[in-house]
Amino acid sequence: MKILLIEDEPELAASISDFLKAEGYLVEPASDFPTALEKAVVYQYDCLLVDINLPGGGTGLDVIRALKTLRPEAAVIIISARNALDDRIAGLDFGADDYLTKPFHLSELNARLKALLRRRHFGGSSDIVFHEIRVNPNHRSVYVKETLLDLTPKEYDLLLYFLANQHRVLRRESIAEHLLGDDADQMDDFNFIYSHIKNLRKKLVDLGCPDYVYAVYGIGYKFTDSK
Amino acid sequence: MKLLHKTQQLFFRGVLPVFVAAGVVSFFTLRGVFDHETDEKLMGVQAEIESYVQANDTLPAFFQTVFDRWYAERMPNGSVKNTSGQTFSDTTLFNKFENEMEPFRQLRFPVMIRGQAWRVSVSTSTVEYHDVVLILAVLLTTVFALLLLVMLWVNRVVSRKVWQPFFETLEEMRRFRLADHAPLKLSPSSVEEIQELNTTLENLAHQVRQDYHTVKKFTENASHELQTPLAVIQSKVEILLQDETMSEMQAQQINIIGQSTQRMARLNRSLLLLSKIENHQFPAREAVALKPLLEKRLVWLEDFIAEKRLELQIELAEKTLETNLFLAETLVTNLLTNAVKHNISEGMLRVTLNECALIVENSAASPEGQVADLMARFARGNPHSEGVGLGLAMVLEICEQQGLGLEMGFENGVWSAAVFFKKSVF
Repeated sequence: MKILLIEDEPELAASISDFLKAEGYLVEPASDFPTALEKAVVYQYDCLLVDINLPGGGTGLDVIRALKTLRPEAAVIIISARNALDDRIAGLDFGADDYLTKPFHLSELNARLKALLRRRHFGGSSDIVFHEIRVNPNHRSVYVKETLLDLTPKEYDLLLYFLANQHRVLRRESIAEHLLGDDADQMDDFNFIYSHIKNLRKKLVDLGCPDYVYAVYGIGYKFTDSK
Repeated sequence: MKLLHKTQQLFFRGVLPVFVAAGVVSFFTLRGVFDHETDEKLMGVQAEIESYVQANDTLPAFFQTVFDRWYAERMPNGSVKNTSGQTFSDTTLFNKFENEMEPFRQLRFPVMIRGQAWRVSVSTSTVEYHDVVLILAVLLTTVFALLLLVMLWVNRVVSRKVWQPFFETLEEMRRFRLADHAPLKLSPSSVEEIQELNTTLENLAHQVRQDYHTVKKFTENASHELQTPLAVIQSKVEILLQDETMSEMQAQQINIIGQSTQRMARLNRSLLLLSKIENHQFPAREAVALKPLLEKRLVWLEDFIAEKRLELQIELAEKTLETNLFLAETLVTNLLTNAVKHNISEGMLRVTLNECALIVENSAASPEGQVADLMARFARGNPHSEGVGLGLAMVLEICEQQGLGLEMGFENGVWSAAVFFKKSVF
């Protein structure tokens, strides 16, 4: 999977790049407008991560506009510090598929990227399989050893988030923000995720699944089959 | 005080004393003239009597008409010296023709007849001229009053006409919104000062708009500048936390860096939003149905409500409000999240929506009683809470902008916030 990362802040670009490489992506960086525009138009990528504010005479929105006239099916996620409502709307109007406001969690970016690529490449029809767990994202249904598992919407989102970020320490705040969406800013007490995690683990274990969820003391959780 | 009233008042204050003074002066001048005439007349009579006495060596016959009379009396011998010269006096005498007492002017003077001193009194009635003066006074007052009224009216009409462009300018200024895209355009005036005022205001508005856009741009850039390093820190924290060789203690420290970064990012976002609201950057208006907004937010909050085991009392009527959708969402979100955040375990949360108000009540510990404190930026109800405390400041600002009434209070362990849809309700 080839990703074009358009981001002018070198350290942030390095973080994202390292993270995505570890996930097995090929990451091509572009740090200014002309490079970004050229690469976006000339080469084919599975997804573009686009920052709006760029040096070099144009914005990320211009890149998206140019790209979308050539390849309307291209997958685009905007990553921007500008959370101005009109930017977001303009971006989505230009054909961006998703919008992440800085600062964001890399695990959140990862989950959104995976969901987007799945939608693009398999029309969402491919199942996510992890040992005895099988998730059908189209129907939002989960099977353990081919037995349908009844999950609440939040438990389902939680499981998908874990599956997207396997073997990785997920901070409590990152999980809470994933479950609450953009309005997570409003709340400051994230204890509620304990009960969702507890219930999810119980439901999985009850159907004969090993407990893949590990608590990382004081920090968060890890979903993994090793250890 | 209105400008027109003010000019009227000043005009009135200026003209009235002049009129009163003019009235008083004319009155006394007239009276002086009349008095002088009367005295002349009496002195004429004196001269006649004196020449009669000189010629005939005796007094003329006593004389009395309705208006004039004279008589003489003998003076005691010893008082001759004292009786030299004239004395004028005002007195009242009985008018036997009219059968009543009337005011008279009297002149007394001495005459010597055959070595005998006589004192002669000559009087003339002043009833006539008293009447004249009275009529004149009434006439003057009426004329002055009428004149005053006419002048006030003219002044009013003229002022209104002269100040018309000023009021137009004022109205334009009132309608002027910084966030509007059109520059301020005032209608030209033929009055030099008004034109000058308009030009000055237009320049000022232009300058302010420019500054405003600069500031807006600056806040946006500041947000960008700030969010990017925050994003860098956060991403590095996340990458570091994946390092399995790190000790648990180190991981915890790094996690705390991550938490603080997140708080800072949240604070930055809230401040930006508040400044946007304060800058009137959400001018669009539409009919907003409040019930679905509240229901959506309550569903969103269900985890927090469940965690605190709150007792819900929800009573929502259908109500639409002409307002900005985003602001209405922000208002509802802040009121509800606040009520949940500051609630106590197993407390109560009551949300009532009816035709005239949205009322959110919740159980709370006492520190929230300080409404004013809570409104202030950064104030927090609970020192252990990590909430930013900007929520209520936002609520206040939105209510003010959208013409909504807001009342808050703490009583018997219940904190309540009521938003009235018509400000005139209280």
